[in-house]
Amino acid sequence: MTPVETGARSGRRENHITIGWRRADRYTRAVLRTKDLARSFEDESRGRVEAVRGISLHVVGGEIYGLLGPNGAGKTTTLRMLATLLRPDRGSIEIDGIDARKEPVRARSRLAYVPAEAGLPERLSALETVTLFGEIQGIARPREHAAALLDRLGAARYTNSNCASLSTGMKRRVVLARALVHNPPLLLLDEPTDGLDVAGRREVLGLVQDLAAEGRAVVVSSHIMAEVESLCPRVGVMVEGRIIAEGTVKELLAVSDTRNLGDAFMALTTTAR
Amino acid sequence: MRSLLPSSVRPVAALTLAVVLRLLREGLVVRALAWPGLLTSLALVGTAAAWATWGSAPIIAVGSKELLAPLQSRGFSVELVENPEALVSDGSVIHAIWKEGEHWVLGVTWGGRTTLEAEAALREFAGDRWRLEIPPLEARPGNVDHEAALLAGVIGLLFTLYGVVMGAGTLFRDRGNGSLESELALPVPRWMHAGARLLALLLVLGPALVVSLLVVSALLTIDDLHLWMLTGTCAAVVGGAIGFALMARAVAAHGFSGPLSRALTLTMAAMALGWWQPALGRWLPLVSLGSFMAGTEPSALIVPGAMIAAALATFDFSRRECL
Repeated sequence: MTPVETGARSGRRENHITIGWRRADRYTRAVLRTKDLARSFEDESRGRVEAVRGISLHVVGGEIYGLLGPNGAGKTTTLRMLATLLRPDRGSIEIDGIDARKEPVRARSRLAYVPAEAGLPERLSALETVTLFGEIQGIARPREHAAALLDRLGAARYTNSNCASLSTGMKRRVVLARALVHNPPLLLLDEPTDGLDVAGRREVLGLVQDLAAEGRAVVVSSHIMAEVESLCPRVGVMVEGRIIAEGTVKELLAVSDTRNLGDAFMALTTTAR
Repeated sequence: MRSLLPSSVRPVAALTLAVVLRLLREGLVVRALAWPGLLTSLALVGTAAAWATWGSAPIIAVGSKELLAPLQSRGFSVELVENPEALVSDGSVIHAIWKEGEHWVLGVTWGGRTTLEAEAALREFAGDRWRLEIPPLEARPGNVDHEAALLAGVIGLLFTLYGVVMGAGTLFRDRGNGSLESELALPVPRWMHAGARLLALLLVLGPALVVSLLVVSALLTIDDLHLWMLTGTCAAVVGGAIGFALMARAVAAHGFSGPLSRALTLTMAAMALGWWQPALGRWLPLVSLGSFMAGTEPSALIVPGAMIAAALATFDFSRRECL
């Protein structure tokens, strides 16, 4: 699916005006929209914990949005709600024009979710794993499609290898191939470079940029400042379930009167707490 | 093949096939197939050993010739010795009879039915006023059939426990390594993930149980073989559903052993209930395995019962976030 096809299928294009982030000129259709998203959990020791407290997001096709926050900030809970794995207590989620709370199954066909610890089923080969997802997604000729995708992501040599025997970097590629098999317009990545070495990290970040360049909206959660700085034109800083600051890296630096994103992050989160 | 399936069934078929492949490649099922042959061989060897040890006519050492004929007529192997009391005292024989003055003495090192029979024979020989009446042994349901049925029940139990472990294990492992989270993000209803896993259990454990029972039946004929196959398969599916459901209800922090031990306890309790109250096993799957081992045949209703149990586990999973 090309970006043009994506737009044509949804049948809607709209101008999104936000001050201070790099506007994607070609792809302005809102792929992800959330409003006042909240979720709490019952914890045995802490009682009721509000993990996410009213998050509103707006991400358009071609944009990489970074969700930056310390551990326990609510990033994973947010992504899980966006992937319709967790039911929000309140708020709305719209994915590619579909109300994800009312039609979660349909919404899931428009997104790819890669969890932080995205494991692969042991005793299945890389090709079998991606083919399985293609089959479930209703792709025509899923095996051929899966092989082509693995080839494109640089995992062609490992198509018949057992997933358990793959290196961490190669597993990431297979996980990405599995997530992308149905060519979704929205990509949700939770700590995508977790556990990767420098080379693997670079490769994955390059891949994410390529995928966004094809017109996909990408939401990346991370706590690695340099990664977010280089990858995400727009960043939301999340602390204790809330987005306390949002904008381009430059804007965040200006607001916090700091020189790098790490310092900005510390300044913003300290103020918020 | 794929094109023959309706589009709504394809995801279930694909998920089921993936779980089946993984279960088969794990080798647990293949190893499970070795157990019945091993159990049967052990049972045969054990029986032969028991027969060699206790199966021949019990030996009674006697000190008097006059005792030979009456005891032999009762099926005892009698040995005439000089001092039977000494033999029984040093443990060389289990039974010995000698005379002390006017009285006959039966010396034994170990009780049991044989001792009672020896006492009865001695009292009759001595013309004692008080005789020992020993009721005849209760007729067993068939001869070797009883042991074969017990073995069939043990194999059913074995596969039920496999079902519990596999039901709990597939979910725990996929949740632990993060692949469940990715699978749940697929555009299919959640119940399909649970349904596919339980269907895969049926497809793997059912044929394996059937083959196992056929192997055992070839060595020791099992009566009502088809009923054992049905009862065992239903029990394995319900065991799998219990393991799966209890693992789904437990949060990931509870680990593997907690939910698994609860599932195993529940499964064994259901089977024990069937053994204790065989009438219940006529209608309830899993309970029926215990009942059948106690001699009560199950009805065909255990099949829809097993389907309902699997459907309940599936429904319960679809309501949970299970992350």
